[in-house]
Amino acid sequence: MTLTDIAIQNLRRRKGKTAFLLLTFILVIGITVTLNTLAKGMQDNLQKSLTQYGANVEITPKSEHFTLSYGGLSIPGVNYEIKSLNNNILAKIKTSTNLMINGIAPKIIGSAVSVSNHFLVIGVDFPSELKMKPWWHIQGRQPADGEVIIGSNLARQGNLVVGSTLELNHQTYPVVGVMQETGGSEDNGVFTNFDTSRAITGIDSWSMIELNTSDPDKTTVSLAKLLPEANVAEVSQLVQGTKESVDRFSNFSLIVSSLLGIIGVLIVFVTTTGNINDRIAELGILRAIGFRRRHILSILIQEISLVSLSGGVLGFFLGLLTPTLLGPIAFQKAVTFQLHPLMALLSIGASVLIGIVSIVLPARRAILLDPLAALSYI
Amino acid sequence: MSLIRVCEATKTYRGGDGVVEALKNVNLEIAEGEFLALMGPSGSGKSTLLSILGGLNPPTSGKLIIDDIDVYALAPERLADFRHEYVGFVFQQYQLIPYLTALENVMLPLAISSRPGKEQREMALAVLDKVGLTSKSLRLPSQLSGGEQNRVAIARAIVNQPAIIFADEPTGSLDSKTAVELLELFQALNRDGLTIIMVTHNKENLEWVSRTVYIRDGVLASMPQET
Ligand SMILES: Nc1ncnc2c1ncn2[C@@H]1O[C@H](COP(=O)(O)OP(=O)(O)O)[C@@H](O)[C@H]1O
Ligand SMILES: [Mg+2]
Repeated sequence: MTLTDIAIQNLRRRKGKTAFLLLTFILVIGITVTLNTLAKGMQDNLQKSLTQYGANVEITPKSEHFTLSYGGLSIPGVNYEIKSLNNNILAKIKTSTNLMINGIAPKIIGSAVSVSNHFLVIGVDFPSELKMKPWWHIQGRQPADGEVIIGSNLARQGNLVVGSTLELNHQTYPVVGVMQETGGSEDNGVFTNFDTSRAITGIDSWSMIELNTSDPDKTTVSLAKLLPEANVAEVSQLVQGTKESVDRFSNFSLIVSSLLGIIGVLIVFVTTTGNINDRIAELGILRAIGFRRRHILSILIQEISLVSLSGGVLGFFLGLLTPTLLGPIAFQKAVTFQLHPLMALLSIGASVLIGIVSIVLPARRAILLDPLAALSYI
Repeated sequence: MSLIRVCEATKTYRGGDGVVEALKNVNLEIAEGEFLALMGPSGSGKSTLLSILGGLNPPTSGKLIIDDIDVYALAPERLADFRHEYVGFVFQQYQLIPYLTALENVMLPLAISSRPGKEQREMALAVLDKVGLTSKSLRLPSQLSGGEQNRVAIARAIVNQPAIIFADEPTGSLDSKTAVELLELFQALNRDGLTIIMVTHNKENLEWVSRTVYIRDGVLASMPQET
């Protein structure tokens, strides 16, 4: 028999007390891990939508106003000049290493007329564009030279389908794809590749360059310096609100975790103090038998370590499972089951730490107990 | 030469209700192999003297010498080692660890030795056999009678082969038949060479012992003082 055996037998045979302590650890760690897993899941999702999808920085030509006026009357129509974004601008962006750019999607945007209508013609590089906008779903295929695809509104209004032709500036272009409804301005656009759009609109510079970067704030600042001829703007307003609520939830879960940690220490402290009071006679017997203080301490620490370690492990898995079960209910979103080694280490470590911290005072009392005083409880 | 020597031991307790002089200038020598009874009325200082003899309770003044060791001059942890090596205790009741089986309770003193588990088990089973409890070795204390619990406690006290057994009113909670069995067991152990010091306030126990020391109001006497 070893001191560990003694600790284990105590835990095994005082089932009620062990179960209560174990449950405390499981709940404290379980709830903490649940909240943090949810927060992390939300942050990951946000990060994903920030980095993987969508443009978060937009470069447009600077328009400089020089109003033409005559006797206080401003002449509409020609009151500004648009500077153009040259082709070499892309090379400039690409060679700047510190921008953390994940995707570049330049566009040529112009207009064209047919018999009855004005059309918005957008020339894009489909691979880059689709990478940035995974919500674009094209029925049909991507256009080659001389071909176009059209937005869903356009298709509906013009009764156009894949295989129809579209007349633009007195030329006909076969429609090889229809884009499913996005709810955005895409729904009324005509999309084609750069060469074709140049041919249709006669525009030979970029109308807009959309960027996706990991750090939009920084990228915007550096690009504004790099490209004085362009307007560089962050387009993260949409996610800004989400980011705030995610941050708020993260802070909330951090505060709740800390509170739970303190409550855990208090519960375990009160319970172990009570347990040790019940065990004064027992500890006195051990001291009379010749157990040293460190033997007693070792038993008490092993007991609490075993409980807090198993409570921490169980709580950790509970905290991993709960979000996958709760996620769909609470957030209408599946939370993927993910094992974070760091979180495992932290939560199980925290559990053991809570156990050790809360046993310090009761254990001190136990080992400082005069064996005789302990025996007079008999 | 005596195994145990108490020189001018006094013990004063400072409690809520003032100072109690539990022992007054006690001198006592106990030879190896004695079966000594410490007899006296309740509150006379028997338990106090026994705990001083057993290395559990430092006297306010005076000395305890066992086997040439000045026991209370030892540092606390050395004192624990001393108890482990030299003495075994048997108390009146509730002395077993409730969550350990009889066998595990007997193995307790061996748990802090470096003996391997198998040897511990063999030693414990051997002493359980000596006290006649082999068949109940896997029971918890709550599943044993008072007399059986006492015998487990004795087995635990002797498993580490100490030189001296201290017993504080070991028959106090037993019926007379079980008490006799226990005294017979003590007598057998004493014949094997163990020194036994037993506190009792029951005159009937005295026919089993080799010597009786009387105590009254913290003062020793070799003859009972009639009131
Ligand atoms: N821990 C203690 N604190 C204060 N007084 C004590 C303590 N232990 C014993 N006493 C007092 O010392 C005296 C002797 O007690 P004790 O040795 O237990 O006697 P006995 O075992 O003969 O009944 C009693 O008056 C008792 O009240
Ligand atoms: Mg007493």
